[in-house]
Amino acid sequence: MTAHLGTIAFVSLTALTILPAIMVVSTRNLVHAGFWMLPCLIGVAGFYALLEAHFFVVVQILIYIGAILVLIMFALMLTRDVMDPKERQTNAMGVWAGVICGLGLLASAHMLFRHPWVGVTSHPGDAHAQTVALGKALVTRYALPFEAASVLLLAALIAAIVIAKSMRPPAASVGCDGEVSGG
Amino acid sequence: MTIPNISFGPFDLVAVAPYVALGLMLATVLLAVPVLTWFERVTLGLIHDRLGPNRVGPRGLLQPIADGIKLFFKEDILPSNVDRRIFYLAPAISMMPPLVAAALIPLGDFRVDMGGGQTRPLTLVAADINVGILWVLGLASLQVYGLILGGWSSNNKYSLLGALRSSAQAISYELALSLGVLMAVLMSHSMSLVQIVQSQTGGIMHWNILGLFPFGLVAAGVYAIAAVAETNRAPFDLPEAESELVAGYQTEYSSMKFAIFFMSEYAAVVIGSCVAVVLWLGGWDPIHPVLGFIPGPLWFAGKVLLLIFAFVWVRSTLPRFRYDQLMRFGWMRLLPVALVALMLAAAMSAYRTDPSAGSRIPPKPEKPKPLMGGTQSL
Amino acid sequence: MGAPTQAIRDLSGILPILVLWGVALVILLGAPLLRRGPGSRLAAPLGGAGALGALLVLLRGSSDGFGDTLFAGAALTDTLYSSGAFVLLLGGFLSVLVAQTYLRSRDLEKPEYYAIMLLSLSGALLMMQANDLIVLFLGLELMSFGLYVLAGFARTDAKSDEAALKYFLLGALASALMLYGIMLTYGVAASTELSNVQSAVARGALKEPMGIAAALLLVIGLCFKIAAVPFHQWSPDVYEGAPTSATAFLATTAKIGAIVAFLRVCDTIAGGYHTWLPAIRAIAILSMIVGNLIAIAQTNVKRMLAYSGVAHAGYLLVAVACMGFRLMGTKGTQASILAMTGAVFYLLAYALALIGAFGVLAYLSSRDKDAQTLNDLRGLASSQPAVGYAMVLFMLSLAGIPATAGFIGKWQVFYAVLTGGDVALAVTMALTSAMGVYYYLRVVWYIVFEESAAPKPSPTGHGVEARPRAMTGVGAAITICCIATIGLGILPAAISSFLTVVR
Repeated sequence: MTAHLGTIAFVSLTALTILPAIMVVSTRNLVHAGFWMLPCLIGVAGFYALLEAHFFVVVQILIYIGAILVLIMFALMLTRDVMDPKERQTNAMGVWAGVICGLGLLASAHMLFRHPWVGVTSHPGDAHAQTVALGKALVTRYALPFEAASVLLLAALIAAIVIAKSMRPPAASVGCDGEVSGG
Repeated sequence: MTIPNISFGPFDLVAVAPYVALGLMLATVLLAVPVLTWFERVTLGLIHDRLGPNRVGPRGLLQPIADGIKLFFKEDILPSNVDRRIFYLAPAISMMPPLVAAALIPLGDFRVDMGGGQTRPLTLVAADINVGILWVLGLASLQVYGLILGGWSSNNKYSLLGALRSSAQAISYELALSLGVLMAVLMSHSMSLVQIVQSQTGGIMHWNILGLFPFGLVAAGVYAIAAVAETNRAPFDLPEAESELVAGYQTEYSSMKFAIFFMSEYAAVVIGSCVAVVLWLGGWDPIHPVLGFIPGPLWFAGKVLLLIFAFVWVRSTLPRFRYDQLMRFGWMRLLPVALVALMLAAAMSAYRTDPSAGSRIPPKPEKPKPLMGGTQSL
Repeated sequence: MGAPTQAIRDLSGILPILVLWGVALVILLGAPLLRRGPGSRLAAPLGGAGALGALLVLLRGSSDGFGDTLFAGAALTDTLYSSGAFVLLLGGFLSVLVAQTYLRSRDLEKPEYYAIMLLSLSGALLMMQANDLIVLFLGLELMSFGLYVLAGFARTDAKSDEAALKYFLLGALASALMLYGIMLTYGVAASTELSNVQSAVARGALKEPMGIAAALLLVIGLCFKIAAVPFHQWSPDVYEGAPTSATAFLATTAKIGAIVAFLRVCDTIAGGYHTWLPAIRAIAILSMIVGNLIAIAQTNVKRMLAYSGVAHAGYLLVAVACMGFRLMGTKGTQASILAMTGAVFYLLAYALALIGAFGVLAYLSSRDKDAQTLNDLRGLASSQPAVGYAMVLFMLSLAGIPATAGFIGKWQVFYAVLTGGDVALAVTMALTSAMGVYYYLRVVWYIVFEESAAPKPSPTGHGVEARPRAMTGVGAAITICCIATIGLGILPAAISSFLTVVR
């Protein structure tokens, strides 16, 4: 019975994740595409819940839905007139790309179903133990990747600013950097 | 406080308690609007030295009901060119997070007399999740979607500006909010709301607001400011700034849809105050153990009311921020202060903790496991 | 307990990375002071100091910790890492020198350029040190992010924008494929740590469809970074569009980081060579042929060097292919070790010649003229003999003419693959190298035998007026590259104490 419930939950979560994901890429309206990401990300949080990774459920909601998607929406709302909903979304190669991706999908599915998966029978432990283990791992085994990820984000941040910062003509850039000096 | 185990048909008190807690919290959140509008207007009147509502009913007590009836019977205008689905969805989404968060708030702690001289602890809470405070933060971050969706779908430039402001504001102050919360977690060694309250038992000197002095105070201040910003209340009510944006994100909303936005704002205020009480003011813990005869939920309600009064007080005294001031304050004042305070508090906490007290944390596992715990069978 | 000493050992193992991060942060924090005014002269020296400091820290680091894993298995230090890091940081330092002059002359200088450069270098170092595919991926991304931005640093130049966008989009695709490969690796090995992957491969993980897919996706991801043939389309446009100093940096950094990581990954999965070795051999042969063929048709020196980079990626993949021979008897083992040492020396020679060549282009560029084409080099030997003959030397080294470092590197790889007994690869390598000589010598022809197009150097052009620039960064870079190219060509043993990979 529980196995059935698990399967039902898995299938419905898959639907909750994949259908909005399809809408994200296929809808013509850019802001709608952003909104469709909301159920998609919630579905991913649901997968974490199904895997009993409680900490990740919350982090997924907090970070992805609460922060990243809000940021994306912020950016998208500024592009109201940039994207024309009547613009064609495919080009001449669309059919071939579809065929190739479809074949890739079939191959992946075949590969995944054929793989002799080793089932895990033990539960990952209660949420407290999980959270403690995760915290420990982040400062021991995963300290380096964790810090590297922070530096990566810093680099991306600086990079984005360098690329996107408004260019002033050299003559106008005598003072300090814009608004900071104005206050 | 020990109470008898009353039975309700086949269920005893222990089994019913979560539902009681949920019912209480939901009732509080949903009834917040009528009660709080009256409370707010009376308080504002008091502070502004004017009368406030006094026409409908004794001391204006029936005013909220009149308002409700008015809103209910108003025409529900659907402006042309709005994004209909999202326009309908937005108020509902804005109401959801406070309602869900209501389930996480612990209201009191009792010992139940199980008979035969045995007692067992009972916490009046619907759901005690051990990463509960993260859930609250996550839900608080969802709150902004109602504003964004409503503002964008209205197809009105003022609404859109309100939506933009609210999203930028939410992102900016969420960081400070989280850092403030983190400090409470640091002091209480837990992310469970129940355990956070329990770690503060023993009167005001044990509450987190005075913990790791003065950092508890700083963190509580940071939390308070960020919480006001998160609920979009004055002086952080830029998304609806009526002097600039008509009514911001809710310009095009009327009748009950507007009322739901209104309700969600007050619900968020209630939840924000509840969380603040849990984190900083010892939850249901009496101000001194001598006063323990007063039931915990009453203490809790009293503290929450005090904080709601503070919300109104702040609104009535401080002018609204300008957008650039808001951003500069959030990023260049609040966040650095919170970060520095967190680091200093962590150092202080590590310095104070003697090795034996560190045994709260389980010993280190021999070999770190892979994060996802091996392959999962489909 | 012993925990503190372990932490210190972990941190000292990644000290070069920490130095790079530290200096990058100093530059970023000091950016308001370094942006203009007298402070602006300090940005490049700081960047150079960062690269040089990391290099010195690396050289001073004691070798007794070699072979150890750091951070409970996330990273490691070994001779492959230390020798690769030596080459990388040297290249990074020389690139800073080139950038200092070039950015100034094209009015592009911002302190962030150097900070991003250092962060990118740290990413490449992380890739080399990775003992875990997650760390490898993070390093790769950290490196690439910097390179994407540096490629688009000339924001007023549409070609530079195009380069950055193209590099970023295709790079993101390659990263996604690689990440998928890492995920599948986790699926078959239940771990991303290389030692666990190795034992999974020993158990036959690469015989399963999922293992095969994982290995191929990893190979594709890394092949993209080194611009090997089916995945090379981005490189000519990026090389051409990026500011010359950024081209020099991205060409060398990406190649060094990715090849060292490639060597390590293929060394790890050597047990399943039957899966990936044919793919690598095919990619190597294709890269050598296609790269050399298309390079012949180029008149833009930067594009030509891009295609020559494709060809060099092919030669380096020959060394990577030798990793597959490791478990084929003693000869094979010997070949794999020879190939590792050879590849690192090859990378050093390549970096010196390439940075030198781009340095010459940078030297010839001015505010309103970006030297890129063969015509810009016409008659250089008579108008500016020192620079002209330096360029000749770099071309000869890239072509692999004896008495240059390029020859030694190519010979070592060639010798390794012959030891491994793969005649087909060796023959292709020899033939295509001969083919490559043609277009390198064409550059030499333009420099030495063609008459200068401009009647006489004008005040705005390159000429006598430009001479004092020789004293600045790019002059120093060209000089160092020249000396090292000749020195290593004649006395390769001089550097072998740094570059020999031991097992």
